[in-house]
Amino acid sequence: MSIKLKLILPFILGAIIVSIVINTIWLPKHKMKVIEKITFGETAYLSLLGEAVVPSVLSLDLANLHANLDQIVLKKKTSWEELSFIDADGFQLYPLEKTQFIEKSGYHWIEAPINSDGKNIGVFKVNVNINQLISGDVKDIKSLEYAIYIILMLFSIMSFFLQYIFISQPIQKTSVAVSEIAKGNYNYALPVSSKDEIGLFIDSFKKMVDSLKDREENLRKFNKAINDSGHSISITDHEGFLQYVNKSFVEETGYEENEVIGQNIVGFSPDGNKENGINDMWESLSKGGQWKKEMVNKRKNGEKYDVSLSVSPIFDEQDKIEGYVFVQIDITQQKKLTRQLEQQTKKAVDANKAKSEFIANMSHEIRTPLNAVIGFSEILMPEIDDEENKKCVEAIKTAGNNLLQLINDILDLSKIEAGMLSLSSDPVSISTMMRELECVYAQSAKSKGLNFIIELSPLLPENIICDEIRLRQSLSNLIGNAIKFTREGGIRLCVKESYVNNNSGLVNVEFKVKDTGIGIPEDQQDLIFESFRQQNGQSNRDYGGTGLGLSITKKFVEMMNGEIKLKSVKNRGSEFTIILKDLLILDSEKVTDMIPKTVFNDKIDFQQAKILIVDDAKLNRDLLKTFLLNMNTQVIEAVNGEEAVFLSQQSKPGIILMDIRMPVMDGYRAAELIKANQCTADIPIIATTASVHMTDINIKYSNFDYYIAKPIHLKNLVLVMTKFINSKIKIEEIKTNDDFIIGYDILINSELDYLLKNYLLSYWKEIKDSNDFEKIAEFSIKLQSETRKYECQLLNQYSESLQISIEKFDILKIGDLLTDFPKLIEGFKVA
Amino acid sequence: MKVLIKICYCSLFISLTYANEIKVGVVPQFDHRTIQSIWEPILHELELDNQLKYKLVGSPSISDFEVKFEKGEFDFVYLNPYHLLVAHQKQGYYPILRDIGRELYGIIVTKSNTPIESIEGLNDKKVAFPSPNALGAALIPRAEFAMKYMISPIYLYVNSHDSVYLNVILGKVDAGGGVQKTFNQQPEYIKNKLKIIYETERVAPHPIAVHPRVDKGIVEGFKRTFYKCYRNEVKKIWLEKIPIKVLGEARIEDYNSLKEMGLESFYVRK
Repeated sequence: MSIKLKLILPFILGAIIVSIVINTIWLPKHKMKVIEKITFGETAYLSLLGEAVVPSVLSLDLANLHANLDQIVLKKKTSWEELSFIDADGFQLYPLEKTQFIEKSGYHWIEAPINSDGKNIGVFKVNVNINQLISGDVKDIKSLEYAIYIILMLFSIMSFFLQYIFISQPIQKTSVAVSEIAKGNYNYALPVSSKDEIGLFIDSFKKMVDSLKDREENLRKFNKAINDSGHSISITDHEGFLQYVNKSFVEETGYEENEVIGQNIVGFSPDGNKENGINDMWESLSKGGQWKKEMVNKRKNGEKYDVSLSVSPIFDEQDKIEGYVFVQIDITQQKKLTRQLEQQTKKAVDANKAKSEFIANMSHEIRTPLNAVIGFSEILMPEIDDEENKKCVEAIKTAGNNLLQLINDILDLSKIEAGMLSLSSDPVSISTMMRELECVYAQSAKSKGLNFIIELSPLLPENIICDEIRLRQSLSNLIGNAIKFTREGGIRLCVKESYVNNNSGLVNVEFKVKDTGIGIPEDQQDLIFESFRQQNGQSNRDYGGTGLGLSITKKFVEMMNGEIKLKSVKNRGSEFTIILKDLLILDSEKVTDMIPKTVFNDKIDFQQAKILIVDDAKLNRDLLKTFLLNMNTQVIEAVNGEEAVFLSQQSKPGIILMDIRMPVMDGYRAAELIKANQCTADIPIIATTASVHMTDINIKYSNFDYYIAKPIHLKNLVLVMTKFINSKIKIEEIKTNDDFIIGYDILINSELDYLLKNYLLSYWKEIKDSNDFEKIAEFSIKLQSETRKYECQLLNQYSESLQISIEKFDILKIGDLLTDFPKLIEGFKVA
Repeated sequence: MKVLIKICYCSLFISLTYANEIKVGVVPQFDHRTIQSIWEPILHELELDNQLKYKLVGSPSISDFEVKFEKGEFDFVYLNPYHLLVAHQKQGYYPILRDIGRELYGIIVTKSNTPIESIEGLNDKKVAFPSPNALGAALIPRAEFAMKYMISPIYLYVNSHDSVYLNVILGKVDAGGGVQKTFNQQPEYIKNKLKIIYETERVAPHPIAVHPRVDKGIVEGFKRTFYKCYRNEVKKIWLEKIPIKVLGEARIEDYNSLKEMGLESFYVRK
């Protein structure tokens, strides 16, 4: 049933109901009422008429009676019929013709007796046309009925037109639009929407069309992209039967589209696919995974070509595989280019390798003689008494060191620029490093009459993770420069944390090196960080240097996620600031392998140890032997790796110092064999090499336990050896000077450690600023008496020095000793 | 001399009076409006011809009419022959014009289907008349019933000729008295139900009489106008409605036979 009919039907039903109500209920009921009313009215009327005609009746003036009644009959001709008057004697006086008094449909007989002076003189009878009388009312009712019909009809017509305008027409237009849109004509205009349900429907439909349009557009683009793709794309059903192939597939394979659609894709695989390993494809795909393979395919004409095939499953809404997408890239040309590239790369690698070997050889060849020059000059120095000769040896040593520094700088720079320099992540104790730097540079500063002060922030974390070597090298460069370019005043190294995030365990550490030197003009402050550049007017002769130090420092800092800043005023001094960002804070407990502290050979006494020196160069062996001469060690020698392997098994040395490059057998192989032998596997092997390529990673993956770079400095040798051989300080040789308490590990028991860090440290805090000699003397005596039983000579020496200084009233010394007490006890470690 | 002057003044007064208004009376045998419609054009014609003012003086009833003409209130009066005799006797009215083409007589009718065929059969029967003094329809028949046939019917007076005929037809009376003219005027279905069983003696019909005080010149002028109308085909119809179909002179002698009927004793005074 159409909407029109549905809308009109209520009006039709309404009309039927109205008709039934009016014609079967209202109208008959109304007729009855009207008849009663008419009867009453007409009877009254006849009675009045009777009164009027009484004289005529009584006088038998029938003409007058007839004339009057004729007039009445004429007047009432529409509603009355057969008006009759019968007198009391039964004579019908009106009309002339005898009335039959017959009942007629729609008529109703009414009688009205006429009296005169209480006496009946006759009766009026009249047949009243009820239909005619109520015709007005009936007409009114019918008019009302028709009016209702007309209103209902008007409503139905209006409803029809309204529904046509507001429902049918928009729906018809929408229907037409839908047909057009279904044909793909998305630009076909939908009817203008109104603010009603149809409007909402059309708006929703518009949104749907827009969405469809977008999807269609996306699908079109997607289809075009796939079809026009430079890669061969094909789609199969879940059994591998081809459903779609794009243009590239046709062009690439040589098959027409109608030749392949409906065919199984396996049939288009080349014969050699078993060799290509395609058999695992279906197994992999059936598990829902992607399958990729480079393989050889075959065109229709039999020509073979290289392809990179990628197959992905297509899942339906139930996550079941409904098909596969094959994307095949013709890599024949690429393969060809790759092969060419590989050949060229191999050539380049070979060339680079040759260059690296050249640099390594050159480094080795230069460092080896320098090893002898510097080493023997250091040995000769204390042996020569003649001042002139001493100056010559000093000059040799200085020149060798300068040359070594130059070579090291050039190598560092070349490694940085070649991207070969990698950073290590070491646990670093900042305070320890600062003490070491103070140890190294305090003397040289003092020799120039300069103060060298290190300030550490109390909130600074004890241990961080960074590349200790590069950090130390950077700070050394800055401090060295500061000493070099300062004639009077001093150098101050301040270290503080600039940002700490305890949640993430990261810290920014700021190292500030401030001097009172010659300063750098503002216009040259950027230049000094460039390689081989020094400040204009700077005399090389006066200050020396290669001009590489700051450049290398800047690069190191940047590699360590940091930055370097400079503030300087000419003739007033400079301030270099290194900020290392996001350094990982390390808990003290996790530091298990701290780098050995700087010590000096004349203060160390190794336990009786046999040391095997392996080096093909006699000069180097002699140098090492000389270094180890006064260290309570027994030295045996080997000239190559083979001998070293033999001697290690025979003599069981405590430590092996092994060169890398040697004839017969190099150090790598020898170390490998030694470590492979159970008897000798525990012997620590320290590589001694002049190679620039010996890095931490080489160490890690080789069989070496550590390495010492050539040329070998005595202090470096001792430093490394303390890591592997038990040692103790030669207390009696420690001088009570400024570098008295530069830290090193001294093993003590926990009881003494507790005593020192609680009771004695508290005692010290009470007296340190008192300036009361008696109290200080009591502290020294207490310290000596309390610690005597632990036989700690260092503490005994400290207390004795303090007591001697009190006796001499050496106020400065007393102050220094008191100041150094915390540092002293920090150097003790619980055994 | 004084008498002469008074006569002159009286004449002048009368002339002026007549010149102003001449009263015309008509026996009310029809209703007033019918009488008015019949006489209005005639009176208007009289005024045009004679330069006098004529006024129709109505009478609601016969008795009122009788009172008026007996007092001499009318200058000209159209009346029945018996009234003429009375008026002549009382005021000296004399007839000047009448229909000379017919005679007045009464008729007795019964229902056409009754067995009564003669006057004799009406003894003790109910006989209806318009009124006791209706000349042709009642006065002459009653006089003849008593004087000539010696019968005594029961008289009922029913106001009009039409009522007489209806009472006869409807059976309320056995017979009724009327005149030929009113009988002829009845519709056919009435006439068909009636039959005339008797006609009375004939007399001259209604005259137009004039009061003796009216100037002869005015009387002549009156008569001239009537004759002029009678000669005019259109205006003749006015006269026929009076009814005067054949206009002629009337004299008091024309009514002598009526005087001999002794109607006086049958005339009912109200």
